[in-house]
Amino acid sequence: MRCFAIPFALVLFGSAASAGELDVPLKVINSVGKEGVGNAEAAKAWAALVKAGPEALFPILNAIADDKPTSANWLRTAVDAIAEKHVATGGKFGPDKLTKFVADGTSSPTARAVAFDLLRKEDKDKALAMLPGFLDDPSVELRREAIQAQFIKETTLNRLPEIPTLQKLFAAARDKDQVEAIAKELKNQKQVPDITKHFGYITQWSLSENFDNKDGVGYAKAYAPETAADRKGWKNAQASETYGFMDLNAAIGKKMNAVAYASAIFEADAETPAQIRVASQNALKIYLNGKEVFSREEYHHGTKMDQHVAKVTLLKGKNSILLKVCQNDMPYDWAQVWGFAARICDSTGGSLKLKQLVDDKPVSLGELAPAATKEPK
Amino acid sequence: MRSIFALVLIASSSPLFAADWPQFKGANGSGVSSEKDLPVKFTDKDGLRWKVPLTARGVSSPVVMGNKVFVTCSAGTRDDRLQLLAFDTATGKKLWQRSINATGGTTAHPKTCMAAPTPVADETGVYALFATGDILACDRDGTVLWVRSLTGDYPSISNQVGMASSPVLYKDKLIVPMDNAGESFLAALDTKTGKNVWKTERPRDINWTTPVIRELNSTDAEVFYQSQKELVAYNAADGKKKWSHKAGSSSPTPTLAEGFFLTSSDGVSLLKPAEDKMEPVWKSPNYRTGYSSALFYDGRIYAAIPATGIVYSLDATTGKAVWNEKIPGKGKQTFSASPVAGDGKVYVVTESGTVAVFKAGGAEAELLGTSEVGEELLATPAISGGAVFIRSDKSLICMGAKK
Repeated sequence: MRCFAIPFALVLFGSAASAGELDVPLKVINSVGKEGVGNAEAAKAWAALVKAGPEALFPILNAIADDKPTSANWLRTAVDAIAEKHVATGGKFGPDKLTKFVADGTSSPTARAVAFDLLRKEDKDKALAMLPGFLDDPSVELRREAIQAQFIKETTLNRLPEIPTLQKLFAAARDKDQVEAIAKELKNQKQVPDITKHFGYITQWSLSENFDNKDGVGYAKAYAPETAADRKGWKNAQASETYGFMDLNAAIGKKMNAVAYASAIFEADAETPAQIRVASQNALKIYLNGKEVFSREEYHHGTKMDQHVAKVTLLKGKNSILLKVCQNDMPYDWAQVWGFAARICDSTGGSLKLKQLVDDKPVSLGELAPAATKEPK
Repeated sequence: MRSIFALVLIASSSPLFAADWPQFKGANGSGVSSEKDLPVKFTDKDGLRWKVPLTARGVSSPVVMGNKVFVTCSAGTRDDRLQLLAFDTATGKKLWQRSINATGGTTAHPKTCMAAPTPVADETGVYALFATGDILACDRDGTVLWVRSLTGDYPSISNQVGMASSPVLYKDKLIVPMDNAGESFLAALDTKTGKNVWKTERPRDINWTTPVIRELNSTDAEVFYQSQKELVAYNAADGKKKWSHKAGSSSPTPTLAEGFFLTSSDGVSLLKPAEDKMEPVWKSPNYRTGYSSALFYDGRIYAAIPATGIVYSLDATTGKAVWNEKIPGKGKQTFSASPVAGDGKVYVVTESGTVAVFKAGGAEAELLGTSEVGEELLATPAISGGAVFIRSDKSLICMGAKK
């Protein structure tokens, strides 16, 4: 901290701040640690940034890093404070500058979405004109807006929506409600959009026998599948629901106080940043290549798509995903569910081009059990 | 009894202005305001000081300090855009808004959302906890004091039903309840920096109650935190467990009022706090208030029963019903919000948007007025400055004379 002291004081008490002077408070805020470490210094830095006014906007936006979510929130609120004061006095940040920042896909998706909101308030036409360029954007917020705008436009014309346009929107969509709405329009025109493949659900699994989870002991206990790669005696099972739900009660047999493992093997052409996203009512652990990457000991408190996310890096070549899914003994009807739905995707939620291997043979990702496809419950 | 009355006198000697409604259910969660001349009904043309649209949904309650009312909202397709807003109590003008992104999970029952815990305010600022485990602390002008991500600090925190317990303040400590399916704790955070002053481990179980402070003297206090299994008294200075009482409730928040401890679980129970225990006074198992917390006001208990849409007034000395009244309105009336009171009036809001005002006490129910908001009302109202602040799923409403 000592090295920041002099320039930081300049920012605090000086007049107009230069970009270099802003580096110090930005660095202070981006250095906040866990359990409030650095908060006292960050509060002073925040005040310095806000005092610097509109000149601080783009340095702040540039400093927002999505891998530092707490710091990003400090900075996000500084933008609010600066914008509130600036706009109240009739000020503008400049639509051209905002447009340039938003258009730079290498900046933080969070920062670009914030800048887009500012642009929309300053120059709505300019903001709307940018939307078509966001169809494949790394920011899921900007992507969603772009899809929504085009979808509404396409479906309110005095003609049938064009199939190629709908297919393009379907491919770009990441949010369930948008995917389903576009799929419905495609089906109206005899098209067969595949939601399961679109989201990259893993539908084919190798399942273990069940292990003991009486009094919840199995969650913490490392049974053989966690320590050995041998999958002898495991059985293959294939999901039949659109959102890839693997019903362990059906696949293994109805059990309470039980643990089951589900394994899937993938090949990646290169080292690939990825997310393993799982929905489950049951306590869950996720392993990638033998390493635990996520855990949640929670039973029957609700579920939704992608509720659990493990951020991982797939290795070039073979990768092994192992899920540990634990059932307890609650007697209620709503607590009988034992299963999961899992997918591998990029940071936006888009499916990855991966090869799945079942019994060492390549299979198509998202392939549902033949003639058994049914809508999710 | 003398010692209890002494405790009550101490508990009511906080430095708040009479008009303030600083936390969930008002000063120390009593649900009671000392305000006078409170309104009984409003229409678009009469009795409505202002109504402003909110940026997004929330089931948290408004809180009022001085001339500002604070509200939280959560927005976005993933419910992950968290907002703290300040409005002018006289005009409804939005004064400032601070937005952060959720750092924790946002899965929740559709009835609730990430803006479920009610913020708490004092002269130093306003402190907003969200169901994601994010905390945003600002002074009353919107200057950010500190930011915390509890799920960043303690990653196993999780409640897929949706957290809703609200933080409270005791002197320079923000008391944060964090019972959940993962790492559970009650913590005191330094209001100046957000750093942990103490953090006490709790059983891993989901819980939606808000802690209650019992001031013992000018320097000592206990934090009562109730869950499904028990009510525990912690030393506010260091977080150490002092004693516990087997009185379970994981949803309605208990109340320390008029020398008694009122809890709503499996009916309504009245307890008498002693030095290191609770002494049962009576229990009325028929009055199941669901999410709504019972109210202790001027010798009566008021319980809004969601299953029937009926409000009961019970004699606080016996627990026996004196009167009951079904809330009028179209269709089924039910409650999530808790009744609040002031100026001899009891305010009850229904999920379908009716605001009903009863005369407190009496041998029979006297409905002083009803108003229709036409929007979903899940949040408990706030009373301040001669007005009642009502938060719907879409709007913030100030029921009272124009200023």
